[in-house]
Amino acid sequence: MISSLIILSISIVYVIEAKKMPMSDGLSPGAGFIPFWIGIFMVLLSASLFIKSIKIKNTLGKTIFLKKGQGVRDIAYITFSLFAYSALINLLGYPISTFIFLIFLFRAAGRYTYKFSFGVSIIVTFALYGIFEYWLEMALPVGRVGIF
Amino acid sequence: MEIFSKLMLGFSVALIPINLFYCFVGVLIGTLIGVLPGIGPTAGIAILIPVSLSLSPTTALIMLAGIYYGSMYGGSTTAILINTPGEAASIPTALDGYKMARQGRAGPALGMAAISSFIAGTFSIVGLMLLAPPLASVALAFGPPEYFSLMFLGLTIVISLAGKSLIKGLMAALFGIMISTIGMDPISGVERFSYRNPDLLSGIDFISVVVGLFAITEILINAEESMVSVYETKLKGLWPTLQDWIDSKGALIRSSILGFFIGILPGASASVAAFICYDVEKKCSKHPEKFGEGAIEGVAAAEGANNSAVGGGLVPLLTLGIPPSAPLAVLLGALMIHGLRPGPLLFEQNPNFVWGLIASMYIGNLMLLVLNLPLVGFWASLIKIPYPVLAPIVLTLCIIGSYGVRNNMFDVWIALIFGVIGFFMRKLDFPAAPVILALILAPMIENALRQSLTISRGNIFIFFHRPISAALLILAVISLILSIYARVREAGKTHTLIESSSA
Repeated sequence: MISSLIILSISIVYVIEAKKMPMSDGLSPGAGFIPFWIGIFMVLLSASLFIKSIKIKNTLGKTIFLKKGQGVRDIAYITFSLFAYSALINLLGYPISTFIFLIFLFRAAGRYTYKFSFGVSIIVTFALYGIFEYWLEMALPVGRVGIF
Repeated sequence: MEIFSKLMLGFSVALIPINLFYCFVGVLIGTLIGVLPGIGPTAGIAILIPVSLSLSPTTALIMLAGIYYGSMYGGSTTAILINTPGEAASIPTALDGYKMARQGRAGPALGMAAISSFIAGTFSIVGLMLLAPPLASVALAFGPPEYFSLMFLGLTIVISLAGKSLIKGLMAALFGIMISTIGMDPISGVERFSYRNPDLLSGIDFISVVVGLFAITEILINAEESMVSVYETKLKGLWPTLQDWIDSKGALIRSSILGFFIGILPGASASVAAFICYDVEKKCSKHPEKFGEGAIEGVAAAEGANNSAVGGGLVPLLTLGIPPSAPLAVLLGALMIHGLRPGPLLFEQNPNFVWGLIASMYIGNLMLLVLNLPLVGFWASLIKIPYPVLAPIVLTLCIIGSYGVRNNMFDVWIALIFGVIGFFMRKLDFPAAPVILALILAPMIENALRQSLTISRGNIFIFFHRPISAALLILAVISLILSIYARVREAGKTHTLIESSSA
């Protein structure tokens, strides 16, 4: 129910923004034509989903969205570490931030020992760095510190 | 004879050492992706597109296609040994394959899966080779209205088949179109939803969306579930018995033919082909009660169908530029990144590429047979890698993959955001495949629509005055009506069930 309301709100904003674009280029549709009508359809569908979800809620009661326990904690660890990793890459570059990211996840989500986490993290980091940077010649992020 | 000489041209391209090497790399990575949970062929291809940028288009596509059909082979291993299919197309394989493993017949199940994959895969390449060139000639007559109607039909079938709810399937497709409208309008150059942000101006890169929705989401979902342990069994006697062959011969033939033609249909993926062929085999069998209890013909049907559908799916992709499923949509994106425009002219303008790719698939299928039969024990041992070790490594690859195409951290952030969106979509039963198909097809649909309306001076009836376009639109409407009808019937049954259980 909440999700359909969120989609409905986003769709309304999308339609309002699309309306500001030209609807026609003389004889053919303009840049705003497709976004406007797609947005209108989305508004109608999310509204109908909202109505449907009210009916279902009355029939079936509360539905379980997330199972409580270790799984939820692991999801939180992964999500947090992914965002932190992406922020760190900009600063520290690929190898150091990848090493920190891996060691954190092996310890926090995998619950492995420090020795194991450290060993596997260092092997994986440098194996991936070697493959992508040297063999496949991809330019991995260097970061502001610029160590690698 | 003309086809034969073109095939020889293809082999002369595919047998160049670098192409052979990358064909091997592709099928090897594909098998790995199929075996390991947490990453499917769609995300696997997307992550490796940046890697392919340093290669020639032919070599790159030989590798990326190898990942796709390789993953079909690999998916059966986890389905049979741990009842956890590596990708959706192997779900029917698990029904009988896992039962066979529990009966101590994991070897023949894995052997039959590899052999039926090889037979059906090879059949589908022959089908692709024979059917694609004439279809490409017909498609030369297609103008913007026909293309619009064809892509519209493709989208409606995807929406009809995806997920439990038609509304949610439709909303997922609309969401994909909405994402595609971000950036500069390709026709008029007007900025759309970019708010003068230079990163948004060039649009949302589809690779980031695929990595987010398919790979990161999968890991977040798996983090919530505890992974099943491997069923410990000794793998011996991979070669099926004479009785197994007798039981499976019908399934091998039927799934090869049917899987190929289902694969051609827009919206019908390899998983749809596997489910349909499994069901057909059950209906054709003299002992349908054996299905689900360890029938080897069930394994042969499902694995044959999903492999045959790969070749089938390449027919509309190469001749019309229409991808029938999410992995092929990503492959279409890869073609365009490499400067190739799929469609009828591809066969005339790039024969080396098209026939090289087709010939590489014959070679790739042979490589897969060798990789999957004698080395099945090795692949089975890979399943024992603990998921908490595997997931962080896959996530690191996701970051590299989304960064690699444009060397831009903005794309990484987009992948992360779509990972979270994808998690909520999965929880709320919104299918992800329509988002990807719509995202990749939407700019082409929009261009075809606007070009058609320019030709007709704004008259929308241009789509109905042209017979092919009108027929395709009628088919699109029929597919939606049938889907609504099927869901209403299903809802009726569920309603009756709820009422009877609460009574």
